[in-house]
Amino acid sequence: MSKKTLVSIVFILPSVIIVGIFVYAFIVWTLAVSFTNWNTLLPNWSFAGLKNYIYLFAQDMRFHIDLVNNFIFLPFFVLGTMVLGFFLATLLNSGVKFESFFRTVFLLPMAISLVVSGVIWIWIYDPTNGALASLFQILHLPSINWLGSMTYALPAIIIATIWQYTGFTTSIYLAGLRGIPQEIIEAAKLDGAHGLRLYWNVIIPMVQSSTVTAFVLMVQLSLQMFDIIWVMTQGGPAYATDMPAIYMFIAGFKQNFVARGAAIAIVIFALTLVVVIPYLFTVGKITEEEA
Amino acid sequence: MKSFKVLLLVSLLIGAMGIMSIASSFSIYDWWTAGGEAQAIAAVLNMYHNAYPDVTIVQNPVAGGAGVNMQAVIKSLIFAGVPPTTFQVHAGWEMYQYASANLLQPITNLWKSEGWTSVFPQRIQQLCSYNGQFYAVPMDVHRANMVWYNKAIFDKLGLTMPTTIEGFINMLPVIKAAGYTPLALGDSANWTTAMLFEETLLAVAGPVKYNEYFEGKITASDPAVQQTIKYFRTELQYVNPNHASLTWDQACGLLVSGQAAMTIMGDWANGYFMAAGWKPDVNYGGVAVPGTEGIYNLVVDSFPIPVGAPDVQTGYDWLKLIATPQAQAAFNQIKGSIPARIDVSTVGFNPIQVANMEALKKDVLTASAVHGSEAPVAFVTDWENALTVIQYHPEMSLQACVNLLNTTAQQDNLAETVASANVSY
Repeated sequence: MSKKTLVSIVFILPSVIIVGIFVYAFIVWTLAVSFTNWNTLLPNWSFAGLKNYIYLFAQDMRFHIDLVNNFIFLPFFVLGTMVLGFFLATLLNSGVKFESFFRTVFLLPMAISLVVSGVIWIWIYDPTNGALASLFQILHLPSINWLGSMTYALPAIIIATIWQYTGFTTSIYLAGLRGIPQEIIEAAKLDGAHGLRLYWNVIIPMVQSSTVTAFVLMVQLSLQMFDIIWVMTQGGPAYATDMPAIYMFIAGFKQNFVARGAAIAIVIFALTLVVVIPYLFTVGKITEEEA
Repeated sequence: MKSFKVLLLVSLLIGAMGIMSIASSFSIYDWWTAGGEAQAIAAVLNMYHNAYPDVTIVQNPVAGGAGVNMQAVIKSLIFAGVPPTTFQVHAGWEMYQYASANLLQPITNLWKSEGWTSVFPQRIQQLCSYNGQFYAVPMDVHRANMVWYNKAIFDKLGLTMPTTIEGFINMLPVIKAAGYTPLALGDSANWTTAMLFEETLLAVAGPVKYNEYFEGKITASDPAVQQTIKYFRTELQYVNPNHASLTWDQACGLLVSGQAAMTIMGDWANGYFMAAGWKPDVNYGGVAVPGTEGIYNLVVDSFPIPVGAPDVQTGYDWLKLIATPQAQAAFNQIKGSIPARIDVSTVGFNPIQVANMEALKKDVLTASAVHGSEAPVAFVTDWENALTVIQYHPEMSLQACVNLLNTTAQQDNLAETVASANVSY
């Protein structure tokens, strides 16, 4: 082994150990817990087989509602953040004046704690004194109890989370757009590609790796969505905004259903893998192509 | 010169650490972070500091979720092997979950040597003990089954508070017809909705059946529970439309602003009304929910000592202090609740508190399920959610509501859990 390899190993080792313990070991540990009868405060390591999973999928009304909510939430959130993010990144990249000012404005929500923005959105949605209520009053529209309605609570949450995370996708797309060589765009323009056609045939394909990255991150975020919902509705009213991650917290820490909580965590993890594994292959392929 | 400064700093640090390790510290976790309650706990901690000036007090208030967030913190600390000296817990099932797992120190000797068994009511003693041992000391008693009303509205409409739950239900449309919200509700957190059901159940079923329901001995198919579901759904038709975006105190605010006539809420509302500048029996009245006169539905905040607590003597000193009439008076006068001791002087308490202090001595005592005392925590969580499902689905048939509540009790093994825990009701 050369000295150089040895040095690199020494430098990599701490993070490998930390990631190994705090990520992979705990995933294995959670998986192990999910197969036990530990649905009590104190650990109970007796083997339960698939009991916790069978309960979740066969009997548990709350978990069924959570999955449905999550699958309604996911496409709106992912598409919303990506389309808006691409749109904003394009505007920022178009040589607008005070670009760095606008960039900061759009990225700022991302820097705000989810708890803080949750509280702000509660105020916006408040049906009596909220910002939206005032706006609706001026427009002579009927007042809507956004967070207290079975119909509007989930859309209201989707809008709040899109606001929070669009800055993220904007920055991903901005990096992607900046990476496109100007000559290619010029060449496309010479060939007669303008407006939508330029975007559709040249720019969007060129930022494909940004799209894939943004997509995977947003899907993963939506599967794990917790903080802002916890602050705004705690999953209510009547499970209307409940998500697997919220149920996981309540089951594990309030109800002492630790093994059930672990099983929910594993289901979330498995759903995330479904998206992440193809991503790893795709990114490899794209990088090769681009190279 | 520079190295000398560094040396000085280091030696100062080491010296400071030495002093810190000599002085004992008392770490306490609580969820009293709102208006009056934060002052109430501060008053008692101040008494503690005056009595034990050498002890460093480390107070860790964890806000939110009626203690859910704090419980998550406490469970993590206990499992990490670094429990605090003491923490706030609702006496009853919320405390039993720790006691049954042998995570709390038995303090039966302390109870006996301090003579507490003769000054706290029997039911409260049951809630503070598990399997024949005491594990916690009560700090206060709240009454869950209270209805609060705006006196001006009642006088204007010529109403008096009915004595039966039927009378109460029949009065709701009368108030609505006069242009007021009959019943203020703030259920941005769903325990307030569950309280509405719980107190109605107590009124309809009476204390014996109430206990049996939460022990899993009778189900929601029982006629009394079915009647409760009907009344509960009627009550929900007479609440303020923006209930879901309000908290319990904002709902109380609707009484103060003259928009709503009544609200069903524990006597922490008393503290809210006083803080809002209202005078008891002048601006507002507070009595037992109609049909629950003579029953005291307890919410008891208590403090245990976890196994492995550091500086455990400071914890015992704390328990001794909070059980004194002086501390119980100081705390509860500010918080709006009443002392758990029955021998505390009524001087300094408001008329509604005084009435409750008298009631605690003679009433039938039950415990609130919503507030963690009457039933297993896991069941209560799902049961509260089931009630919200009923609340938001007015199209559900009565039978569907009954089935939902019964499924919830079955899935959480309510009857078996209660039977195997061997606790007294």
